[in-house]
Amino acid sequence: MAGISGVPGATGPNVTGLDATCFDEFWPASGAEAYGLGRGEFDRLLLRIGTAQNYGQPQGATASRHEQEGFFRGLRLADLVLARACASGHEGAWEHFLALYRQPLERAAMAITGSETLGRDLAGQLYAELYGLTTRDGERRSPLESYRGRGSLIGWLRTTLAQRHVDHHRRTRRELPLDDAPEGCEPPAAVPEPETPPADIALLARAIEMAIERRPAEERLLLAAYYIDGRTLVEIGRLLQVHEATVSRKLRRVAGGIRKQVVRNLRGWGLSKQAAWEALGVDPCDLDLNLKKMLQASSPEAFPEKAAPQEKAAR
Amino acid sequence: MKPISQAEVHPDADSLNAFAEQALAAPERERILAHIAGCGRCRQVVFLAQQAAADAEAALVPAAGAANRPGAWRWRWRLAWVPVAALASMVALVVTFHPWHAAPGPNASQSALPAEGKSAPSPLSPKPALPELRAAAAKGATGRAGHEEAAGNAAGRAAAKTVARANSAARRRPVQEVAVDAAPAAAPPALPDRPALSIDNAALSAAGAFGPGPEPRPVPAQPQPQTAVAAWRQEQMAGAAQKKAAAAPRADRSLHGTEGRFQGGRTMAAAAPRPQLTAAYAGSIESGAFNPATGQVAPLQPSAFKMPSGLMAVSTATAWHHMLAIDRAGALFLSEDQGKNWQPVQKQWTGRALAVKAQAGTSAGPELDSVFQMTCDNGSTWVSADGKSWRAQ
Repeated sequence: MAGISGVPGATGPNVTGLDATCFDEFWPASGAEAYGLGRGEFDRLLLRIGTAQNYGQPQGATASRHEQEGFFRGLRLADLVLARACASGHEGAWEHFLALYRQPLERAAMAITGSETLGRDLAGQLYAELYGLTTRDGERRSPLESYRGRGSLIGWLRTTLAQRHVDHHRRTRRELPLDDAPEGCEPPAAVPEPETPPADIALLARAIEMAIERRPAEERLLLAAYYIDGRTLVEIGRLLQVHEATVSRKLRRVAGGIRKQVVRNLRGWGLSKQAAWEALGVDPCDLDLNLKKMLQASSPEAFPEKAAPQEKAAR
Repeated sequence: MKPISQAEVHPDADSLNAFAEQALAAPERERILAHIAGCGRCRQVVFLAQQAAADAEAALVPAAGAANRPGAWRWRWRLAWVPVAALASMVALVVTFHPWHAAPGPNASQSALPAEGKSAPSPLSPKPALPELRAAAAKGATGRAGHEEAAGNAAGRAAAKTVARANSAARRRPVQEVAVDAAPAAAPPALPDRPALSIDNAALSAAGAFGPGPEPRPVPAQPQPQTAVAAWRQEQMAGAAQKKAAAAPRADRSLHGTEGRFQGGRTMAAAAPRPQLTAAYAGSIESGAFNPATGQVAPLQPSAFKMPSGLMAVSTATAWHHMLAIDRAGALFLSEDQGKNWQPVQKQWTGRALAVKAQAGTSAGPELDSVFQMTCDNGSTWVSADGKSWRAQ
């Protein structure tokens, strides 16, 4: 246990209960020795990652010894060690990294951008960042330092590529000249008068807003991905690791639940059942509803602590 | 905590990737889920990364081969289910329909002999209507031959009422088929000491469809227990034979008194040992049989063989490993591979070929001078040893 409890950063009650044999088992399996990573450094790395994530437990909760061990066993130690060795500039690690991930990274970049040229550019930019061409305070920084081994390294690389691409797209879209604005952005020439009284329409909009806000996060994700992003059932199912038929059923259920909740809300505000159901037949164009904004505003969580400084510096 | 409509605080790539790979603990997964439900940017990132992963998988699958994938054995077995299911279906069909054709329908016996009550209902008769029809047809034939009274039971009268139905069914089907259907239905269940006859042998006993041969003999008495049922069934068979002999020139003469079945011109010989031939002529399939009694050729029946001319065969004969067939246009074809491939035979005869037959001893080989005999519409008869060279007899 001396190798763990004595390391800097390995403080607190979470660490002292961990069995040293667990780390003894991880050490040879990680292959850290091949990249010149010492045992003490390896232990410190794991403990730093564990404490930073609170071993996968909510903030403030104390992870038990079993939970800590489970957290460590879930880490991709070989990928983690390779990433750290690359970040520290180990040549052998870079050779191994390039042999493993060069082609997959380029393919992923092409798939994300949908263009071979843009994909190669994107992959080249990420290589430069990963290699640590960016310096801060005179020290070489690599985004690989932010990899914590909870998923695969290739998955992390793909996600990082996607982040770069999306951020670039969002930045450049803001600079789009007005003449090139896509169709649909133009307001309608004439707004027809709605047949339903505006008071009822406002009531309906409020009822919908409340109904959506109360849905669980997964259902809101389904709504947003399907109706706002236009993702297919297959894509959503792949993300949630369920079959597309399950996604379809869930979507139907969510839509039905929202409809019922809207009626309940309207009836709670004094409308009769028939009037409430009739209100659902209002032309959506008459509703002053921004579903996208509504879904975004309903998100209760932000991740200030997850904004990696390396990524911000890279931007 | 401010709403993250346009917040610049997002989960990092590690968290998003871990979420997509289902590597997060439940509490953190819920937080990420709640975030990406309201954050279009992170949703887009996750979906793009997933799309790239799917593309990579799709590229890897053909390269690595399906056999190297984990769980590939399951996929292979899933493929294997297709032929297994097809085989099972075939077996089920055979089991279902075999009793109708190969074994006499116990229901038919039951319907024919309700008075005796000795025929126990068999589970092998899944469709009661068909055996009833067969029994009625057989009974009708027997009754017309004057054997109803010999049967001495009420079932004969009951079956006679359904003759009309059987006849109407017979009008819808070829004569041969009805006769074949009737024959096994009227026959008793197979007994262990009774040799089963094939259609080939039955054809031989069909009063010599081949010129001046010996007269056909009835099926010899079978060594079986002389119960009332057995006696009645023998009478049934004998009556059917007599009826068919009287109904010349019908083509189904070659099928009387057999347990075999005829399916569109093909024979399906029973597995039992072949009994001694009762005629001097070897077994052959004669769809267009020549009737020595009348000196005429029976109406040709369609065969299952389709000739290279595009016409169906109307008469076939098999000897040694040669098979000859005549199509509706009178063209002769020869096959040396059991009917798989057919070659036209150059015409060396006069008139239009009507029927072809094979002579006895053909199983030993083509030592005989004349193995095949062909009858033409001008009354001429032609013989050939190999089916290719023909000479007038």
